[in-house]
Amino acid sequence: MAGGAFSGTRRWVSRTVPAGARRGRVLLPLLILVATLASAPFGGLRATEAQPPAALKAGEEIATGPFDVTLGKVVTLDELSVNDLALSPASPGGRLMAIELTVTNTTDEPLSPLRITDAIGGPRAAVEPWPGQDEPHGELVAVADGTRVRTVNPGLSVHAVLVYPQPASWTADRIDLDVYDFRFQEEDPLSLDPDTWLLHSVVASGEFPIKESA
Amino acid sequence: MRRLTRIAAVVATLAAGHGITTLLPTDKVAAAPFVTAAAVGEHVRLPYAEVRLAGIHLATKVQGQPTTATPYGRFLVLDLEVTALREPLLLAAPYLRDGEGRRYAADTGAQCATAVTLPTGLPRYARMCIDVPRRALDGATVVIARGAIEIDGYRRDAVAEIELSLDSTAAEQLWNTAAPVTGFLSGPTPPGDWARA
Repeated sequence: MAGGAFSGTRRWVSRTVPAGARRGRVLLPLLILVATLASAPFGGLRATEAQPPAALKAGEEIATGPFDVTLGKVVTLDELSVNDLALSPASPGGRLMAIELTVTNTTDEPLSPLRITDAIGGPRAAVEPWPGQDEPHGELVAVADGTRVRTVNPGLSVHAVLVYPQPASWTADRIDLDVYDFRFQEEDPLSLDPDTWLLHSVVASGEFPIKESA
Repeated sequence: MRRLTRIAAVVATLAAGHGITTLLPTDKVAAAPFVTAAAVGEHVRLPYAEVRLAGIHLATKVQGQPTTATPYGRFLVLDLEVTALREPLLLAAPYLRDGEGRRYAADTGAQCATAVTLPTGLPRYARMCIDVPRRALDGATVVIARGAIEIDGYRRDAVAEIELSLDSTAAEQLWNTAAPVTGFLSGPTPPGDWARA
């Protein structure tokens, strides 16, 4: 190795730094420090705050990234039976809660209904798992034919209801609902799954009355 | 001087490696499928199967037992004749690619097939349904393969691309003449309303 820690001899060369350059070395960081501190009263040192969720109202379209969603009314019902689809409450005294929504796929790729159910949230106490399951998840049923919502292809809209079993302990006549958005990730170092939409954060929240199904 | 030379050599090597991996389309070339283009009604011989898109329907409903599926747009119904050539085969559902590159997936498991298990050497008839908006029909191509595009992107596999030859006028006419179609999954004989190219 030439030079470095194992070299035999070292020559120290004294270099004279001009006075102007020395002043510059001190002044520049000082100026940056002063400018940063001066911005403090205007929020310069404040941590960046996340955008608060927008107000979620029935009939208003929310962009989530891969799709736009519009919530309608929320109803409670004893059971849902259409063609060969039959949904019943999960526990004695429980009911079903159905959230009406319309979803439009705004991407160039097919949209899984699982992603749609991921985007709607609310209080955990309002729902319970279906029989035989550990975690609550919504069943997405198309209004047009009463079948489970299929893949929604690009440019298509589906009018559906998102159905959850509701425990007997939930007696409120109003519910706070959230809509989450998604973040597009081209490369995922963990799953090696490229070009994926990942659930991100709440973009809209609002209170909805729970109506009795007619 | 020798140190500078070594540093320069390392930087040059890194730059060359970066250039090879980013500038040259190695991924695209290595993973590109082997495409056979065809028209509706033509037989396509892939290494693993012979495929023929016998014809298409545009449907306002697909009538099944007991459930009838209603599309969110219209169902593009594909009537496929397929024979596995070398060994039993699981043929994945085809997808539609529109003139602008958007992808539309097949999905009505109760009324149409989404994947077909084929015995070797015996022809099978399969009906697959793709829910599409009007804009999907212009310049549309049906892509048929044995793998799933979402998982492996048809990496280096044989793929049949069947052009529907629909210009805007033909697509509009097809859209406006959509009618209900009988649900059918797959079998050794076709249903009565099988499409003729």
